[in-house]
Amino acid sequence: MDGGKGKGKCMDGEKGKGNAWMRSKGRGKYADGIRREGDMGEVRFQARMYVSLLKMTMKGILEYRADFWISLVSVVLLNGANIVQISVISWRFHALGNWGVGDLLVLYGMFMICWSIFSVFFRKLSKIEDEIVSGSFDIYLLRPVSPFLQLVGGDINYTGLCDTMMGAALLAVGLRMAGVQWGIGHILWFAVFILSGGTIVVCIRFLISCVTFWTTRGSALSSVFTQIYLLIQKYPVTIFGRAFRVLVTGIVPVAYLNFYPAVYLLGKPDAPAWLCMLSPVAALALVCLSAIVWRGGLRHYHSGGG
Amino acid sequence: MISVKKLTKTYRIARPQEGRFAALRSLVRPQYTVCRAVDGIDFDIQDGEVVGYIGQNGAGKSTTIKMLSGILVPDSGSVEVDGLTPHVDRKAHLQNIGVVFGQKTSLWWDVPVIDSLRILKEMYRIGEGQFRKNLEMFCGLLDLDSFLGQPVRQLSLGQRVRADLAAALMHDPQILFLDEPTIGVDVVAKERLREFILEINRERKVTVLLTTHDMVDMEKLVDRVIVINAGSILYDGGIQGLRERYGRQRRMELEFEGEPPEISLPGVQAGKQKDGKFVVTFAQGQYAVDEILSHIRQGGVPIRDITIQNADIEQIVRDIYREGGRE
Repeated sequence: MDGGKGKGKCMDGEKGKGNAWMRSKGRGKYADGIRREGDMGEVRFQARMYVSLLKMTMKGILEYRADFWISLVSVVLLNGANIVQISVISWRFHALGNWGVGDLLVLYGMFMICWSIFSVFFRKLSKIEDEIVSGSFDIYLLRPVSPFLQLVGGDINYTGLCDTMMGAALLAVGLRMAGVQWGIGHILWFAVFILSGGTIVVCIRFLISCVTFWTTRGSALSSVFTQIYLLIQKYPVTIFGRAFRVLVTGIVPVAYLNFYPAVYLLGKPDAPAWLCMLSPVAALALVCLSAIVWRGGLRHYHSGGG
Repeated sequence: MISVKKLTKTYRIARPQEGRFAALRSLVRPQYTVCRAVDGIDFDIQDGEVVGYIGQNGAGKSTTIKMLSGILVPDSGSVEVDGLTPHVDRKAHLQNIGVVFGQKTSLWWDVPVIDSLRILKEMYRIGEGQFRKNLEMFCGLLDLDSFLGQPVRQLSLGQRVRADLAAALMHDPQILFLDEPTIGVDVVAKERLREFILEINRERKVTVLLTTHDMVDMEKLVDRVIVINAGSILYDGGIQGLRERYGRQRRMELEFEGEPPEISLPGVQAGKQKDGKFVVTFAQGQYAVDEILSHIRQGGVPIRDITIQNADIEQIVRDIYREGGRE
């Protein structure tokens, strides 16, 4: 939840800037009842709107009551299946070099938790193309609320919580097997890693979707990422070549979803601690890039039909 | 209120490529067809006007409306609405305008109409008093009461457009953009929508710009018409002036007691239509009705019935399009 909201605010920083510019330029121009607040007020307003939008979405889901209950039951069943899956996974994982089974479970668990932040709160990002084609995107641009928040606020995938729980379970089992004792510092860094990792997944998916502002059809990019994700979720990136390591650290920093957090939290010698601690920096860089691309995308937006 | 100068918008449409590695090539070096949707148009709209914006599909109507509402960024030229540039001062601009697309709803599909109105109240920061007052007024004028509690997906098209109109006006905008608001709506519902639009124009002095293909909309709603074709403005002026300038053709329908007579006047077209009506068309200034009639009487066949019409707006617009197409 927090990851979701934090991200929303970050993305909206971009909108906020546009607003500040407008305010300074047009001061006193429209005294006709438009309430003008400070940037903090604006952030609070947008956050409140995001919550209201999610409520609307939940209401919409609850309109189909039967569907909702069936999904809820399926979540419970899926969780049961997950417990079986966890035991299968831990049985199938074999130690890889200096990475024991417990370590690999931590790797897998971290990945799942970060991924679930995307899948629960930001799934709509992979549908930008449909929104553009159907014309719904026009409607977002007609309301005085960040179009980004309107987009992501239009979907909440509660079944994705299943992934969160499974990730947490894998993590717990893995940490136990690895026999790691956590101090307060570990817990704080764990929170930072989850937030940064979630942000990185969301931003990457967002950037891929933004390509549709320029090309009419979505690209094969997302399947490339699916392949990369399949590799990093199960294997420590040290077993791959140097080029791959550079790619997933410096260019598309997906190694910050699970590899670097696991290295740090488990005290592995695979990477220096400072490199692991760059996680929020990588996330922030992606947020900035996303904001720039989003802004360019809106300028380039062609709308559908008409 | 609204001022548009040399406004241009070009679309680049990616052209599908053929041959080997087509998908790859279109990704690496895409080829585009350039399409000028709006090509240097100018117009001004004053406070309280109701302006009809007409043109064929693809003429650039929706593109203009989308630039005026800040959805699209113009390539060049300027748009100013109430002193603001729509795509730059987006948030302030959106407080001034209401937009309804007849083709798609701006309401939440799966929740009751009233919930959509409530979240819009939050978005536009509408005060409780203003919200109550407007809701009451629109319920009265648009008969919303009967379906306020129903989700939008269950509404008829007419009801949906009414709900959309109410939603677009809750924040008391001074300008209303309507993109084909009456499309697909039945005759009775259309009449009600028109009355409502006139009412809010009269009572609230809301400036209205609407696109439509419905000529009855034009005749009943609009003071002024802007005709656009292939991205350029062909006509901008009163509806009467449009008739005078293009409505030169008059049309006479006749029924005879026997075989219709031969008519041979220069510039007059006469003949039997497929539906059996005998139709004579002639230019307004060239002949008086009496001249035509006395010529017909010379044939000696008694006339059973006669109707004379001015060219209707639809005919006029068709003529303008044809003229525009020739250029």
